[in-house]
Amino acid sequence: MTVGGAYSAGVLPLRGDAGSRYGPWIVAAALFVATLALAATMAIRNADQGWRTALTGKLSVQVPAPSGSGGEPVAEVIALLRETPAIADAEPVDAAVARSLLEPWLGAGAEIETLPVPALIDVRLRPDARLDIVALEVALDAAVPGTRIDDHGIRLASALQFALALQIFGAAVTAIFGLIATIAAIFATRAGLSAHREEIGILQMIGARDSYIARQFIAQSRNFSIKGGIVGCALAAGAMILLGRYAPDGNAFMVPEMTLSPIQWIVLACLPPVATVIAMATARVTAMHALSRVT
Amino acid sequence: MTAETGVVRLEDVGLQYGSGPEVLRDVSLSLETGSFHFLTGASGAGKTSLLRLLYLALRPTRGTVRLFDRDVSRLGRKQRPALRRRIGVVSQEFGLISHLTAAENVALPLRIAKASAGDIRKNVPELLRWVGLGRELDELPEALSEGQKQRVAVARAVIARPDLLLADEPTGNVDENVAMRLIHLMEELNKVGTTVVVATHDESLVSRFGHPAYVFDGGELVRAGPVEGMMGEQAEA
Repeated sequence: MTVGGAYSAGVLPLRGDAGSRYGPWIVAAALFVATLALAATMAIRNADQGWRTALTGKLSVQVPAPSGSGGEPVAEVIALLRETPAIADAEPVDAAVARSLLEPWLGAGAEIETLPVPALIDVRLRPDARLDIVALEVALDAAVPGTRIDDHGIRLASALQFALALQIFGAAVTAIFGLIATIAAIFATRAGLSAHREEIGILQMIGARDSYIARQFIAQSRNFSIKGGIVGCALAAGAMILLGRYAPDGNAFMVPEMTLSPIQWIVLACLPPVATVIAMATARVTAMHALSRVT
Repeated sequence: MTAETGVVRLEDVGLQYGSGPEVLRDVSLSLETGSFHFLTGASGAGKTSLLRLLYLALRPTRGTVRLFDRDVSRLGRKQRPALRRRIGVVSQEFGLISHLTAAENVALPLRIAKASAGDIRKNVPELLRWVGLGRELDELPEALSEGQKQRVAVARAVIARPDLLLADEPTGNVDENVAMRLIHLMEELNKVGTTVVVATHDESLVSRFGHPAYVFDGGELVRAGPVEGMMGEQAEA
């Protein structure tokens, strides 16, 4: 005999409703995409900050390959650079490092030493110092003709602009799919209100408050959001792990390393509970609004 | 606190559905606390519409309906549930929730009123046994006969000991023995202060119990008072 325990049964038969059947799948799909989009947004943001840290306050100077006469052009350029007040340090890039930078284009077995490859000098600027790059380039060219300054700031600016666009796009995708999960709660609640008009009338006749009836729909949205949220986030986590295996090395092809901090993983893990709370609030507002129109 | 002078007071009440004809016309009546009344009349006389006004399922088109000294047309939406909890209703359609068992249906008013689980476990089976449904506690409405559904509906209406009990043809689907039990149950409630209104077209039932009756015809209240002689007059008419 079930008398006692059975009294806790939901008073509206919402389990068989379209909302309860399809809601978890809609939320799962929405949370899957939203989680990936948010993860990508945060990873791009990390890369963006990495670029800023790595390249801000630095310059590269290219010294053309010696033509056979004229002494030590690299040493001459370094001396000139070190005399410049705004420059903190100037160091030639190691030949092995330069070779590794060219390997992706020329292959590992290429005889780079035989090619007229310019020498590279890494220049670190003093913090807050102002450098007239044009004047410096004119001076360096006069000393060693063909010497060029590569200002990372120009490339960095366009890369950062692109990264910002990607972050905005990722945030928009996250928001859109969050909205889809919210719409699922509205759809489920409205469908349930329509399908169970008779039972709702009985509950009102007995003296049920709107909030009591709304709680039935809040519970429905909570249940399918939790189920869908967990499935969607688990699938997204699996996809990220899989993508991580095929991701290129962070130092290769100038692709920044896309990693997330522990806090960012926690943020991703918070998506299902946040989506659940939003779905519950949506169900409550939808139900209360609809019930307020009934006698 | 002011004492309630009347449970129900209607003044010149008119009711129409949409733009149709009036189904209630100029109805004025008053039910004192602890009274037991029958509403009688032929089908379509307006009994059910009057009950629906009383359990706040409808609003009057004109006139005033006062329940427990409160004008229901001035009640805010949030105040209506509290008033409805003071009213037990047995409707003609039974109004049972199909996926809940007989016991769960009867327990609903207690759950809504946040009664303790212990009270629910104690009172619900006891009342269902009293109305002869001790073996049907866990049955869904679809497994019950019309008469059994009727008894579940009555049990649900009285479980929370309402101040006003409204019953629309509560004996319509049960045999005479069960009908007597149900009316006796309502009389027991009436003895402890519940005001009871039973709508029925069964004149023999009205005669047998001897409570005062309001007789309706074509949406109008045509007679009111003690039942003695009233049925005879009707028969003569």
